[in-house]
Amino acid sequence: MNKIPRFVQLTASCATLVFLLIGCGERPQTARPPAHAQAPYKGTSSHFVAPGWEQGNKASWESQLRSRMQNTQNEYSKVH
Amino acid sequence: MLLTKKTTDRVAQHAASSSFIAGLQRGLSNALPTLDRRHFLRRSGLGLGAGLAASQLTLVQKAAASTSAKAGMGTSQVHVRRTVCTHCSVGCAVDAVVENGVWVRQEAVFDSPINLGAHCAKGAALREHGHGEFRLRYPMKLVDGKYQRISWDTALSEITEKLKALREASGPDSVYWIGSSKHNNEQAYLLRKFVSFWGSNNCDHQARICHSTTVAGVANTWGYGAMTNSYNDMQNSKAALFIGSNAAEAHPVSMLHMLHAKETGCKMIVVDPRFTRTAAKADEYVRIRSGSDIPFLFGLLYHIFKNGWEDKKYINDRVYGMEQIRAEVLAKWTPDKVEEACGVPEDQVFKVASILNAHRPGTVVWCMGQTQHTIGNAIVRASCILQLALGNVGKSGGGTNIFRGHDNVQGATDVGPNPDSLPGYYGLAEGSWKHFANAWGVDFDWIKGRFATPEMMSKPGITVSRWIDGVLEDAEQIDQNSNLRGVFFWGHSPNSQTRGLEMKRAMDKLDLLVVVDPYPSATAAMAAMPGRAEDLNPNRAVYLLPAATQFETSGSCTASNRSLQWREKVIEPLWESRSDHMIMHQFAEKLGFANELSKNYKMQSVKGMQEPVPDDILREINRCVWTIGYTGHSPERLQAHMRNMDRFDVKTLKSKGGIDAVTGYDLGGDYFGLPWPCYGTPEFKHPGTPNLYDTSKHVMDGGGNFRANFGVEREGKSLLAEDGSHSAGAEITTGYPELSAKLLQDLGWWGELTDAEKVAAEGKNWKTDSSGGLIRVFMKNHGCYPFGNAKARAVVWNFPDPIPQHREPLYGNRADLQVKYPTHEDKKNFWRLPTLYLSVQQKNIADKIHEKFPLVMTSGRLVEYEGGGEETRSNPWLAELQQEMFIEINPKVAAEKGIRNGERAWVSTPTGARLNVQALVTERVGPDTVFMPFHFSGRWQGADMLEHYPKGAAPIVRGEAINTGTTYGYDSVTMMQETKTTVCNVEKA
Amino acid sequence: MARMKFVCDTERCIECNSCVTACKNEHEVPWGVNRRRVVTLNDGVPGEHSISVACMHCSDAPCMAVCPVNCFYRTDEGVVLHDKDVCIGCGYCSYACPFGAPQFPSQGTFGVRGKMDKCTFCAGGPEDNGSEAEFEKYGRNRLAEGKLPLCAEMCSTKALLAGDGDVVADIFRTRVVNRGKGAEVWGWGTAYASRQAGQPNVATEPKGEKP
Repeated sequence: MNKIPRFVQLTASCATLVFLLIGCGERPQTARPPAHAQAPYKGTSSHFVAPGWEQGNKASWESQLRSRMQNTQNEYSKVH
Repeated sequence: MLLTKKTTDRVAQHAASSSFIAGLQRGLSNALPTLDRRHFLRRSGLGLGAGLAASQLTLVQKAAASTSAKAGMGTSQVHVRRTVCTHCSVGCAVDAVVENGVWVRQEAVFDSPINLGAHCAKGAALREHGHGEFRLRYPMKLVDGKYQRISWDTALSEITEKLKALREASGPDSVYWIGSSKHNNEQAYLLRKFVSFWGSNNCDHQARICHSTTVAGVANTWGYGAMTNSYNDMQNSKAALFIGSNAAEAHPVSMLHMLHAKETGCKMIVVDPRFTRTAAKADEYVRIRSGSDIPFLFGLLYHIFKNGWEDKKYINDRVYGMEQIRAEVLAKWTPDKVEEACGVPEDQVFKVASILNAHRPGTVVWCMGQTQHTIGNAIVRASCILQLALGNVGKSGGGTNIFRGHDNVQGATDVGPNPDSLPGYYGLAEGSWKHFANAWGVDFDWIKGRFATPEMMSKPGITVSRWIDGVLEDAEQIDQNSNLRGVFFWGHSPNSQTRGLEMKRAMDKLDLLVVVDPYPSATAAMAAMPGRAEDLNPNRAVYLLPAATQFETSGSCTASNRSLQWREKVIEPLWESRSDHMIMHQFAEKLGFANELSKNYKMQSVKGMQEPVPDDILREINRCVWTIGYTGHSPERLQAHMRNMDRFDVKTLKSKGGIDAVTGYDLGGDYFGLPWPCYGTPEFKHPGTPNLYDTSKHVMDGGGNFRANFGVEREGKSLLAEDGSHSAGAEITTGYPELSAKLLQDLGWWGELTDAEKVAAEGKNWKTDSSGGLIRVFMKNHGCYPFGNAKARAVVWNFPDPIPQHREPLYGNRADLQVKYPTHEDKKNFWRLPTLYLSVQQKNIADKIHEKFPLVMTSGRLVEYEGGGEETRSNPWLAELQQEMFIEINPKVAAEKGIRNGERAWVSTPTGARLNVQALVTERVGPDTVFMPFHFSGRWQGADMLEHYPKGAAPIVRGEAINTGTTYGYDSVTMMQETKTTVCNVEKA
Repeated sequence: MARMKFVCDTERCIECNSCVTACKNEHEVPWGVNRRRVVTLNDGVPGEHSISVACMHCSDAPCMAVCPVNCFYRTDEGVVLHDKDVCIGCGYCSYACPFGAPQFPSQGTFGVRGKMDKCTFCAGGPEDNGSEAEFEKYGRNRLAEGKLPLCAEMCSTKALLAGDGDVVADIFRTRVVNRGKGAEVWGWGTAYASRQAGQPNVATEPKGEKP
C-alpha cells in the first residue's frame, strides 16, 4: 500500500489548520469613507457654521470641537 | 413609565437572555412598535424635512415669500433670534435660527447662566412651534355642533355684540375672563387692565390652581410669595428636601444644578407618595400618604426641637411665634402620631431630621404636591416654619425653592389678571385704584363708573377654580348681581381643572364662550360635544380665536427664580393668528375703550394691523409696580442681559462686569434678569435680588431682610427684627417699619430728596411714590430696605389655622383619620361663593365612600407634556413618546383586581365619572395609591372626542383627562382646588 | 486624530428624553424612527437607572462586519456611517447590533424606501457636507459646522457626553473625583476597553486631589 509521505501529510494538515484558523481570525476593519466623502473639517458652505474656527483647517476644527465640548458639556468648566 | 417603550418585565427579559438574543429582540421591536400608529400622521414627505415644513409655511405666509426650495439649508442669510422656552418656569434660553422667515434650526444657548444650553424633551422640541400643523388656523364659530370658519371681523363684531348685551342685561360681572400663565408679562398686565376697564374683578389664571396657596402662605410668612432663591443657588445647598416636587419630570433642567450639587456633597431627600424619577436620584426616599405633609414636616420639627437643633439666635432675631409652634409640635406630633398620620416610621423621620441638621444650609423644594390641597396654605407654611427653625431662609444654599409651573406663571401672578389684586399685588382698595388710574392716565371715576357698583370694585372676584359654580350655583347664593353667563378662555386648559363633569354642564349653560388660544381644541371639543339636553342653553354662542404663540411676538417673562428674560420675536404669527395684546386692543376698540387701554403705548404694525408695542407696556409696568420691584426692569436692561448672558456667573447669577456693545449699558453688579425685587427706577440701577431676605448683603447688592407688613407689635411682642439683625451696612441697625414719607421726615433724611421728588413723594409711601425718590434715599444713601425690617411669622394669625393644622381631605380612604383630623367648617360666602368643607366630608364618611372608592387618586406631570397638554400633544416629536393615558397601579392591587400590565382599566370616582385608561402595573405607587398624569384630554369616559374638534386642529395624542373624574374641595384661603388627594376605584375594562 | 465617542452618565440621566427630541428636531426624523432612545432599568423601584442609547460608533462595529454590501464606513474621527445608496435594506445589521441602533422605517428612509437609518453622530453621510442631498438622507452635518451632536449638547443634566473620547474621559473624571466613587457609567467599558465593564481602567482612573 502506497503511503502518502509523512511530511506531505503533515504539511497538508498544517495547511488545513492554517486555512481554518484564518477563517476564524479577525479581519481589521478597514472600510474607508468613499472617495467623494468630505472630511468634516472642510466645513460647509452654509450660514449655519459655528463661528470661531477656520473651515478647511484641520487643527482649527479639532481645537474648535475640543473647546466647544468643554463649553457645552462640562458645567465644571463654569462652576466650581 | 413609558408604556410604549418599556416596562420592568421587558428589561428583565433582556437581562435573562444572551446579549445577542436581546439585541435581536430589541432590534425587531425597535423596528416595529409605533409604525402602525403612523396612519394619522403621514409625514412620509417629511423626508424632505424642513424643506417640506418651509413650503407648507410659505403657503400661508405670503409675506415671507419664501419660494426657495432650499429654505432651511442655510444658503441665504440666516437670523438668530434669542427666545425662552415656553414649557416651564426654569426659563431655558433658546437660539432660533430663521431663514426666509422660517424657523429652520434650533441651537442651545450655552451662555445662559440658567440652563447652560440644557433642555428637556419639551425644550429640545421647541422648533415644532414653527410648524404649527395642528394649530387653529382661523376664527371659528360653533354652528349645529360643528365648527365653521368665519372671518376675524365677523368674530370680533359678533362677540362684542354679545358682550354688550350681557353687560346690559346682567352687568359686567356676568362675564368671566380666564387669562393665561403663558402670556408674557406685558400681555398678562394688559389683560388685568382690560378687565378693569370692562368693569370687573372677575378674572384669574392658572396660578390659582398651581401655586396660589404658596403665594398666600409664603407672603404671609415673610413678605413675598415667591421662590426665595434660584435654581442656580441650589448648587450651594448642603441638603435638599424635595417634598411635593417631581423635578426630574416637571423641571428637568433644575436637576442639572441639583445633580451637580449632589456631586459636590449635597444630600438629596425626596418625600412623595410616589417613587418618582426624582426619588430615583435621591440619597433618601420617604414614602408618605398623599396630603400628610404637615404630620411629616412637624415630625421632623419634633426631632429638631427635641434635640435642640433649631437655630436659636436666628429664631430670636428674625422669627415671630416659634415658641408656640414648638409647644404644639412637641405636644401633638409625637413620633407615634406622625407615623399614624403620614405612615413614616420614627427612625426614618429622625434620619431625615439629622441630615437636615448636619447639612446646612439646606433648601426645601415644593410644587403642587403641597399646594393642591384643601389645606395647601397650611402645608406650605409648615415648610416655611421648618426652614425658619433651621435658620435656612435668607441664605445662599437655603431658602424655600418653590418651583413654579408655566413659563410665565410667576410673572402673570405678579402683574396679571388676579381677582383680588391689581398688578404688583396692590389690593383692591380705593387708594390702589387711584394709584393705577394715575399710572394709566385715566380718570379714577371713569373706571369706577365701569363697575356695576362702587362696592364691586373692591370685592375680590370669583376664582378660576370655581367659575363653574359661578354658572351653576343658585343666583341667590352668589355674592354678585348675576350668575356668570359668558366666559373667555384666554389661554387656559379646561382639563387642568377639577370636576370635569360639572364643567361640561357649566359650558353648556353659558350664553357666550370664547376661546382665544393657539391650541383651543380641548375647550372647543368639550363645548361641542353633546351633553345633557336640559343643560344646553339654546342661545349659546361659542367662538374660537387663533392666538399667536410667544415665538410670534416679543416681550418679557419671569422665571421661577424671579429673573425676567426678554424674548425676541422669532417668526410672524402663523396662519391667521394674532398676538394676544393685538386681540385685546381690537376688543377694546369694539367696546369703546381702546384709547384708554393703549393710551401710553406706541403702536406697531404686524401683518398690516396695529398692536401696542410690548416695550411700552413694560415701561408702564416699570412706572407703577413698586411693591415687588418691577420698576427697574426696563426693556433696555433686559435686552442687554439677553445679549450678554456669558457675563453672568452660573452659581451666583452676578455679572462679572462688561459693557453691552449695542447700548453701552454697564452690566457690572447686575444679577441675571434682575430677579425681582429690582427696586427704584432703571437709572437707580438696583441689581435685582438673587436670594430674598439675605442679610449678609447690602441692599444695593441684592441684600434684604423679612418684611414689615403685619404691624409692628402683636400681643405685647415686637414684630420687628431684633437689634443687630439687619441687612449688611444698613444705617438703621434695629428693626424698622416700612418706608413712608413720614418715616423719612422723622429720620431727618427728607432733605436728601430733590425738589421734584419731594413734590411727588409728599404723603406717599414707597409703594405709591411715583418718583422713586423715597426708595433712592432710603436704599442708596442709608442702606435700608423699603419694606422695613421685621420678623417672619411662624404664626399667621389672619389665616384659618394660625398654626398649620393637619386636616384630612374631603374625599379620603381613611375615615378613621378623617374623624381625628376633620376639615374646616363650611363657608357661606368665600370669593363670592358658598364653599363646603365639613358637610361634604361628613357625608362621605356616612356614605362609606372609603369602601366604595378605596384607592387614593393623585396626579402629576410627565416630562414630555405641559399643563393641559393640547400644545405638547400636538407636537409629533413629543407625542410619539407618550401615546397613552395611563394609571399606575401597585402590583398588589393589580393582582387583586385581576388587571395585567398594559390592559385597559376603568377608573371610577365619586362624581360618577368613569375613565378608560391603560394600566401600568408598577411599584412606583404604594398599594393604597394610584397615579395618573394630568396632561391628557380628548377622550371622555371611554369615547374619542375627535369628531367634536375643529377640523385639522385635534392634537395627535388624545386620552382621558383625570380631571373629568376629580372631586370637590378647595383651599380655605385661596380656593386652590384639591387634586392631589381624592379617591377612586379601578376595575378591569 | 481623536476618536468620537458617546457616553451616558447614568448617575445623571433622568430619562427626560431631550436627547430623543433634539435628534428628531435637528434631523427631522419621522415618526416611528428613533435614532436615539432612553432605556430604564429597574423602572419604578430603588436602583432605577436610565441610559440614553444610540449607535455607539463601535471601534469594531458588528454592523460593518456583517453588512453584505459593505455600505458602512468609518471616518477618520471614528464615526461609523453608512451609504444609503449602497444599503439594500436587508436588516442584517440590526441582528448584529447590540444596541438596536439600526432603524427601518416603513415609509421611506429620508426619501429612499426601505433603507436603514441610524445615528450619524451628527456627521451626515458621503454627500457633500451640509448639502441638501445629505440632509435628505442623513440629516444635518453638525460636525462640519464645527458643532457636536445636538442630543449631548442639549442634554438636560449633561449626562450624555459626545465628542473627542479624551475630552469625554476628562469631563467624566472630574465627576468621578467629586462623587468619590467609580464610574458606574454604562458603556464605559465598551468605549474605553477597561478591565471590567463599568469600571474605569488604570489610564482613566482619577488621580490626585479634588480640583
